[in-house]
Amino acid sequence: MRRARVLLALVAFAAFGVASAQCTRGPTTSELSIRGFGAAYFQQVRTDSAHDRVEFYGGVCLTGEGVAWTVLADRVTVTGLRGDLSVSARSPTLHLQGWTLTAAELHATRQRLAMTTVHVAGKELTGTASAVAVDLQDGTMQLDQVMLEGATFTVRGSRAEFQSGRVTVTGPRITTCTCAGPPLYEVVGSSARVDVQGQSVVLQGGRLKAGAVTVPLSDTVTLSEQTLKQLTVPVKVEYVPSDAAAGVTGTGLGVTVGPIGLAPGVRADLGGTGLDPTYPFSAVALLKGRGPDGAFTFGKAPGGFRFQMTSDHALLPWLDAGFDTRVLEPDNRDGLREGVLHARAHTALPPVLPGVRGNVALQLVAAASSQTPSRSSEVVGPRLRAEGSVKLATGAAPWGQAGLRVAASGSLYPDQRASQWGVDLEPSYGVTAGPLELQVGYLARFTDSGSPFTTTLDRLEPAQRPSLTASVQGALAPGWRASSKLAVTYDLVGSPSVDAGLNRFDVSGSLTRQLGDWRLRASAEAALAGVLDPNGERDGYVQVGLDAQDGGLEFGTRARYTSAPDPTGLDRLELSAAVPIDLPGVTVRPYLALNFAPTVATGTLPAISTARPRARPTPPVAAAHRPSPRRPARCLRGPAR
Amino acid sequence: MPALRRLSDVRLLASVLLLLVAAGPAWAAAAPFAALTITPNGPQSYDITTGVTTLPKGGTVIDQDTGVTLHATSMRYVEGKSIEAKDASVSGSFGQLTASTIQIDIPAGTLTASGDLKLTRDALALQAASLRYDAAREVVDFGGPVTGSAPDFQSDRVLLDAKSGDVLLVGHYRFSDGVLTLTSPPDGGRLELHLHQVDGKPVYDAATEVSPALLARFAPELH
Repeated sequence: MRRARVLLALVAFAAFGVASAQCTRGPTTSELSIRGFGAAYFQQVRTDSAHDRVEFYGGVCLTGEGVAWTVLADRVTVTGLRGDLSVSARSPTLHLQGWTLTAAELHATRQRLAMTTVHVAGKELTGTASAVAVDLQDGTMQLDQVMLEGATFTVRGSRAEFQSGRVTVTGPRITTCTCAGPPLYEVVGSSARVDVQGQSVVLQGGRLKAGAVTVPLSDTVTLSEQTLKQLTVPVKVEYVPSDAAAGVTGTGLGVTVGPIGLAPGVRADLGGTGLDPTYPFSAVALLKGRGPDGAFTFGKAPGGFRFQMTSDHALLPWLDAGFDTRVLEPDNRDGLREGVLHARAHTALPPVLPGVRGNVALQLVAAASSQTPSRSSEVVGPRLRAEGSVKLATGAAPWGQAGLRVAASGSLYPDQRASQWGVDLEPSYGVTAGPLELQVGYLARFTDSGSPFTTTLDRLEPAQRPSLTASVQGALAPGWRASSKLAVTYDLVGSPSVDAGLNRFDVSGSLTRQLGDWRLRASAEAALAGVLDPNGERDGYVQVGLDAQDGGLEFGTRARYTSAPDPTGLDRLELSAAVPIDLPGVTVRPYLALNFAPTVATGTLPAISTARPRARPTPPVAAAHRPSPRRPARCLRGPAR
Repeated sequence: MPALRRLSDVRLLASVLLLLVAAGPAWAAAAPFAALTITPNGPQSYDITTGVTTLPKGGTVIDQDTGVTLHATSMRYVEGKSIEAKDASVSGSFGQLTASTIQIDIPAGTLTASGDLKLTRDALALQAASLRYDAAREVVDFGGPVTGSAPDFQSDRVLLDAKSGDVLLVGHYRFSDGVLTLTSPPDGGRLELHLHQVDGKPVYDAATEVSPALLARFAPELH
């Protein structure tokens, strides 16, 4: 659609080039100069002294005497030659300072030119207006009830003033949607200045309107092509199936619009899950905010009500304090509900050794917490916690960088008459040598695991865990790139949630070839921990894949053979595709993958697959930062250009 | 001398009477310049070998049919054929004309003029290089360059309908009417100046699209 409009604009300019040839005396074109107004070039003319009128017809071009303007029309009538001169024409075309305006009617005096029902075309903008008034002395144009479309946005306003390549719109409403109906959202304001060349808009008194929601923006907002693209409301479509093995409670088909930027730092997600009959419907209405001193989340999420508020304040350069309030749905962190007060003191250490930097921190926490683990009763009570930590690190050197973290914590649970202590020692070393990056570390955690709460909150578990990560990536040849990665962790001691042994042994690699706009990628990855220890709970699978992408288009195929924790054999034989679809104001990119593994194994119909196969979550290193086990889902986000 | 003058008058009157008798049918058709009355301002001489009568101090010629009246400072005429006048002024339906030289072709019924030619009539005043007046059709053909002072125009050629006063500018022209200045296409064209009354005053309106009636009037001149 936009391309069509640009084409129309070009045609209009081409027409101007043809029409301008009419604005000189030609073999059959006469010229008439009107003193103090301009000149007319025409095929025929007829004067009417009785009515003080001159009528030009058969193709007429009027040119201005002062500002360079040109009016083309089939017939032009001039009256008041000896008094108040007036020019009128039907279906005129006005060319003025790079703009082409076609209208239903034109009326002009020596000082002013007015047109009604106007279509505007420029190199960068096209649009319409109910009326246009041109000051013939300085060339300023004023458009009423105007709508202007650029390459990336549409501006509507009660009035627009064109002057010196700059357009100022009064009462602007801006959107990236060029759809025929009402746009999904608009940015409105008191005035907007459109830089035609730079394709940017400076908006005064801006407000975002999405349906009935109106949220004020900053006093002055500069909307460039990039920011306008970012203003496009993303639409996310996801399908989260239940996966008992991974502990995932499915929510089914979900569609959410968001994040919608309501104000600086404030955004909203709106939508619903369970749109398919398999899963219960659940509305999604989350309001999220983030500022320099805190953040909040409030609303309805698929798993239930959610309320989180975090506030941090720097009381002193070395002292922060704040509070957290969290009310989470049952699926999240075992239904955590708590209020937390915390204070954290921190300072840099003086150099203990040449080239070694460090800092020390002390944190105090007082909280009232509640958890409802699925397999046990609710745990409620206050908790008091103190933690001290020291971090030391060398500077980056050719030989690498070494670090050491030492932390000790103690917690009291008065209601449960319990306590917990823990000590962490965590040395690390990393080095980069050309395309190779190597990182090794070791976590030694000593604790009595005395917390009555779960590991999703603060319970510590002993660990003796070496880890190794190595990666290599780089260009093999022009157009060819390769990468590979190895990640290994090993638990020397077991705990209630993690068995001793090889915890993680992941190997992956890819080869990428760029052919024009297409990127071809062959990949292979394997989770070998489960293969080497089939009796454990670790992942064990091998997967190979091939995919091709061209901007919005994506095609792929992959196969996965799983051996652990459940020896299911070939569980994924997948063909996938993603094709962008342009809709008014938004481009969605639906992704669909069909898994033919069930067909091969049992002869059943292919299954719809919406998630890329990945290794299941690794047991947490720090229990308080355990990631959500939710399986990643494919998103349809628009526009995807 | 008075006797001679009387004799000349008698001879001239006789010539006119003979001309009237000889042109009986034409008289019936009111042929222009068929009923001329010539009144000399002074002496006149008649060359019996050529039939040319010379009025060295000029005189007055009146066409009784068309009302054309010619005054000249000197004049030569050939009975029934032509009149040639110097520094003459002529008045008729076409207006008031002055020119260095005026010739009347009696059989053709035309009047031609050239040299410092000026014509004035209602709402029209112009100067031209030459003029040809077809008395029977009452059409004046001005040769260029033609310059009008009322209205203000210039033209390669101008045709005047002496009956209606309508004017046709032909060829390259420029027409100015107060705040308007109209210029012909580079290759020339035609501009009709239509005479009519506005608030009791004669004015000219211009039109590039010439009316068929006017084109018909000027058809012989335009072909």
